[in-house]
Amino acid sequence: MMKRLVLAACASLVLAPSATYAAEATMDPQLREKARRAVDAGLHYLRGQQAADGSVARSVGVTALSLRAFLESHRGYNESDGPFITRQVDFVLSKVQSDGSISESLQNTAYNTAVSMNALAATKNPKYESVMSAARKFLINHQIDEQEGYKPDHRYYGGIGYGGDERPDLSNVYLAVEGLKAASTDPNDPVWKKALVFVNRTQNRSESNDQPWAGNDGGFVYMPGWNPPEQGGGTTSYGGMTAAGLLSLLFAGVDKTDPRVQAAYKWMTVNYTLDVNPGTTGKHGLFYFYNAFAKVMLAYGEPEFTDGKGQKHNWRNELAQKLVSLQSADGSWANKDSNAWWEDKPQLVTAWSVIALEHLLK
Amino acid sequence: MIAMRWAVLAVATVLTLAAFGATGTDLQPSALRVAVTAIVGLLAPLFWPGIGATAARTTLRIVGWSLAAACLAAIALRFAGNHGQPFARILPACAMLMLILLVIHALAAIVEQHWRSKSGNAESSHEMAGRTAALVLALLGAVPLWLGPAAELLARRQAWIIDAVIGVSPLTHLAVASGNDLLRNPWFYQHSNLAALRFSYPSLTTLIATYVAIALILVLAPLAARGPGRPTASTIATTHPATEHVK
Repeated sequence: MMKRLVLAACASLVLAPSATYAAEATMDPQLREKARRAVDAGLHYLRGQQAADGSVARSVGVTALSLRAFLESHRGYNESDGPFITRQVDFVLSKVQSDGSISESLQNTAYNTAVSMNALAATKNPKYESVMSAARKFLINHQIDEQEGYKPDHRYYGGIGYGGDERPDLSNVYLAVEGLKAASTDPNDPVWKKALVFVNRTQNRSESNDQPWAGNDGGFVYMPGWNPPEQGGGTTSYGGMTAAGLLSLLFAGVDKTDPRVQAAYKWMTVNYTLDVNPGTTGKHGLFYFYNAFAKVMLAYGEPEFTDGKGQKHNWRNELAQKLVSLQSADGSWANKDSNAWWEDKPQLVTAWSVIALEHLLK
Repeated sequence: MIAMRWAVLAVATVLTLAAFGATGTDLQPSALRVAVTAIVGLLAPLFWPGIGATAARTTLRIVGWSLAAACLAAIALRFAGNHGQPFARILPACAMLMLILLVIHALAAIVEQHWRSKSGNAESSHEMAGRTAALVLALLGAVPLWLGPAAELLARRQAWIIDAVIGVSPLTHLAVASGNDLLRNPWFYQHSNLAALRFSYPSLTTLIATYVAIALILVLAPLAARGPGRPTASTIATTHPATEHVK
């Protein structure tokens, strides 16, 4: 594990200049500066939201996201910068449970563990390797498979839910695989293959999805067979989940040229909009989409794309412009049109927005 | 007679579980614990044996019938689903069911006694008390559904209202004891407006303490007030024919 962390740190150092070059070369310099200032203002807001124990919004998940926002910023914050970082780390560590999960309650156990793994990985501190290893084991054990009596032909197989043993969904799977990747999980571990079984069953692509409802537009749904009511129910592909599905494929090691990846990317670009959650007419989960969109576009590695109307888009410039325009005077963001999935909570949405900006600045 | 009631309750439970597809593979173990305990919990008051001739006998029936129903749920859980559930998981869920039923059966006893003293009709009072108790339980259990929209509106000013609406439901209590994230189960996630909002479930310790306190007051207060051996005012006037068998 120690070796893996050192290797990951070296790899990120080697990759950092080329990644920085990507944003420098493709972004409008003025917009880039505005995005940096927006990150600073967002971090300032988050710093002001910290309680004495380091927690943000009394939540492990939000605190971990806030911590990650600090650690991945262009300011290069790390634990030596002071208590505003270490207190958050300490709060996250104080919620480590005996089963390896990192959470404060029955709710959101897997979600909190996954985002905490990303935050702890961002510290690049090998001290946390035992915590990361235990968290990795928790997520792997939490995956629905034969251990829970499910066979590979079951629609839940390979999925991961919020916590406990409830139904899995693509959103939690994406966060879990992101956490597992951050924890340098062995690429040959069966967890990836099993996760892909579930991910395939959430894509509207009948060639790789054995579910009877599967369409063929290449986009993704929340769960095999249904979407949350806020997204209209049914099995229509939408932006937040298509970004999550595409990220899951890429994190699980599926090649960029794979037809599943190509179909999902095509859906993302053809249905591109930043005004609503693509594929829906509403703004539920809009900031979740911005966050996942920034991550997936960076992971996919194309600076520009052409949408369904034949128009070219520089995703970095457009997402930066959108996020900067939505920032409040105090540096925070919040979804003013929806309270679903906590998007009315400025602490959570600010952390997501800062992380999105940090990704487009890379 | 109690044994016969228990057998009928068992048959009703099995049939209801089968009708709701509770043996299907989609229902995860913790949700199965909630489903089984909730179904037994709703059916048990309908088979409530009725108040006894004395306060002590009524107390015995409240405790006995609640325990019998909780045991039935434990047996059903041991054999339901893909593979039987471990005892360590079954125990908290069934203990919570027992506490809920202690309170609800104590309420049924109070209602029955009140109506019997008013109407003088033992049989109808007994039936109505059981039905009323089941109805109260059903309405309280579904509070997060039918009060959810109002709670969401009010929570813009008072965020605690959402937690209160979720926390008052006995279904939530069974879910907490079963280790189940109730609102994230597929049906609730699709039909409850609260599932996508921020909320916290009450802690198991708080729930147990609250139920024990309420149950003690409801079950033991009449005993302390009247003395265990004295007949209740209503039972002096009339005696329920169905309860004769268990005296």
